[in-house]
Amino acid sequence: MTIFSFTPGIIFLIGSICTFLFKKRFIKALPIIIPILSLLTLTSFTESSTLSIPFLGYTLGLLRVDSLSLTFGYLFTIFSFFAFIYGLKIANSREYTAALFYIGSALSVIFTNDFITLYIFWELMAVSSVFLILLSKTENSFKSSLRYIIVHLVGGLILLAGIVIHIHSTGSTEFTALTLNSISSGLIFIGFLINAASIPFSSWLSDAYPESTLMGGVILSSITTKTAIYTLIRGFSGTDILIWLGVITAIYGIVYGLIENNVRRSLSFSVINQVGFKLVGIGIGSPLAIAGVCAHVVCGVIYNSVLWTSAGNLIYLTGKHKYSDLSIFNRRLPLLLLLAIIGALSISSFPFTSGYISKSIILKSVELAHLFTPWLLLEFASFGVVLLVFCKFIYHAFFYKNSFGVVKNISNQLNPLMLFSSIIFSAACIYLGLFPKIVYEIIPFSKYLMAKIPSDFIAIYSKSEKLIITLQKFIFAVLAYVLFSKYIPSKNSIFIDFDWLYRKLLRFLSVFFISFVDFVYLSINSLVVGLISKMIYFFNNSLSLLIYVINLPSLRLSNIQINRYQLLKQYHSIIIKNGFPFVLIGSFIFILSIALYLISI
Amino acid sequence: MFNLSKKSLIRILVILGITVVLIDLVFLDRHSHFSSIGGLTAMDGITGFYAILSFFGTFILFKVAQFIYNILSASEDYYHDDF
Repeated sequence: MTIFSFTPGIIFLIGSICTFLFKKRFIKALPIIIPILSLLTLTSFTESSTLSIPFLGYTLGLLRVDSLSLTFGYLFTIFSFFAFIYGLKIANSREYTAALFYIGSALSVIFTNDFITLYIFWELMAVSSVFLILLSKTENSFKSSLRYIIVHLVGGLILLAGIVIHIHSTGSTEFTALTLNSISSGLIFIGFLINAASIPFSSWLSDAYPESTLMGGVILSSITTKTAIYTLIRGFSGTDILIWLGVITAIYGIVYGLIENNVRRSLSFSVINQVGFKLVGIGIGSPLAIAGVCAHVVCGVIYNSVLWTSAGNLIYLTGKHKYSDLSIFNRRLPLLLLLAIIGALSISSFPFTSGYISKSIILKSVELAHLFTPWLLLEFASFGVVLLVFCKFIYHAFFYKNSFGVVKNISNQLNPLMLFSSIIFSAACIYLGLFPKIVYEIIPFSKYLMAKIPSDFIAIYSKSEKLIITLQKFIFAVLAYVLFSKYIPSKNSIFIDFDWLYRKLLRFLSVFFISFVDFVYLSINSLVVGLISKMIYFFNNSLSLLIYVINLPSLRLSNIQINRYQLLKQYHSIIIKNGFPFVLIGSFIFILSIALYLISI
Repeated sequence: MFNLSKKSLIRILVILGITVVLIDLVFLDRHSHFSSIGGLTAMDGITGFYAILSFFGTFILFKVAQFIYNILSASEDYYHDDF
């Protein structure tokens, strides 16, 4: 391949520039054509395909083709096609420009072979994705996008520091597997974790995604964290700390999601919950676990898309973002409800849906690694997502009605294109749940996976133990939700999250620091000013005082009634009028004597 | 759309729950995945373990969420003047 060959990422980037430059009539067609062109390019790749260019004495590998990069490449490309169709009637050209650039950058990260290219496109991802939030054009979206870009740029700087140290110490720019035994790998690891929305760097996701545009939300929820998961698979498979980070992230997502009132923020927490499962799989690092993570990424992108498009459709129809606000509507939306239920069942790993065939692989790999506590906590997180999405999202978004207030009818109509994408994503959820072989065959370690896990419909669903266990978990979680949901108040509140550290604490610290500096400055200033004014007073009045002291005995002897201050004033005016040279000489002698005294010490 | 009362829903779920636990008890030959570690960790081999885990786990999750709600909730303009 030559430099003139196009990687899928470059195709998207060119498409982005075209939507920015071309006339409006072309804009709607381009985002549909670009994924098709990218898909055609992907099908032409073989594992020997490479593309490298020299850069400042290093070789940049723009193309690395293997089963891992191809899995993510196909996934992002096919997903973008349907996500762009979803946005045809609701998104403007600027959204498409940003989205194409964002997905192009993500694909470039996926296919790159070196750290320099990875860093460049990593930052371009952050910069382009921020427009998908900003283009909501609300006050909240403006503030959220500001926080989003700052968090990602700080993450990018940490990554850059790690990369620079890594290249300096090893002399290689190649992006290969790393171990957490040096500062450079630690910094790179943190940079990846920030984008993956792992604890304690997760709050940017639940802060920014709910404020994005409707199409932006669908795209963001499926790209950023998955790209970071890819880099973690590539760089840090088998890193033990990821197991615990993943477990805590999965539980955290559930707990925060359950108390959230905003529809898309609640779904953002389900994205964080799913990231937790993937981190655990990467932390285990066995072939089965990595295959499970890849399968879960594929299935996750699809069912997330169903949920986010359903939520987007509901928001489009009602104009409301909160569960409590949706309760005033008379919602008779059978098709939208059906699609949302499929997405919710899928994320809940219900049999015959895609989640059932992917999440179970990660749980199986945890069992095989004999990690009891992480396994138990992941089971919590597993039925927790039933509560968060199947129970909370479906019930509050489609059924819950307030006992007070005027019930409104939905007057807006859904565009068929918006429903079309949701239908395709939902159909994919069901299809993959029934015939997962199509996914198992493209992901890494596919032969190993298919030797361990059944891949045919009959083989999967004739295994009654797994089926009954899943049904037990599902039914009893729903029953417990019905009985105990009264414990969860649903009010318009926000919840202090890790972002409190940079939104409040950092502000407090900066105010404290500025106040402290101000205090020190003022103290020194008043001290110096006081000292100087006293010195000026002393020099100003020293001769008057001296003459007064010299004359004092004679004045006492002469028994004249004197006013001391009046006399000093008189002396002072005489000195000012006639004795200015004496003041100078006196001051000079005084300073000289102090200087001599100091020298003698 | 669905006129199902809470009581009816609970009844249906209890019946379904009992059915799957009975299937577990009668038809399945369950074993622990952690039997090699032994002790309490082998509890996943007990009949109806996942039903118990799911039911009481949900209760625990709700209590944790309620605790988080009580200590970490703030008014919507909490960050109003902040970054």
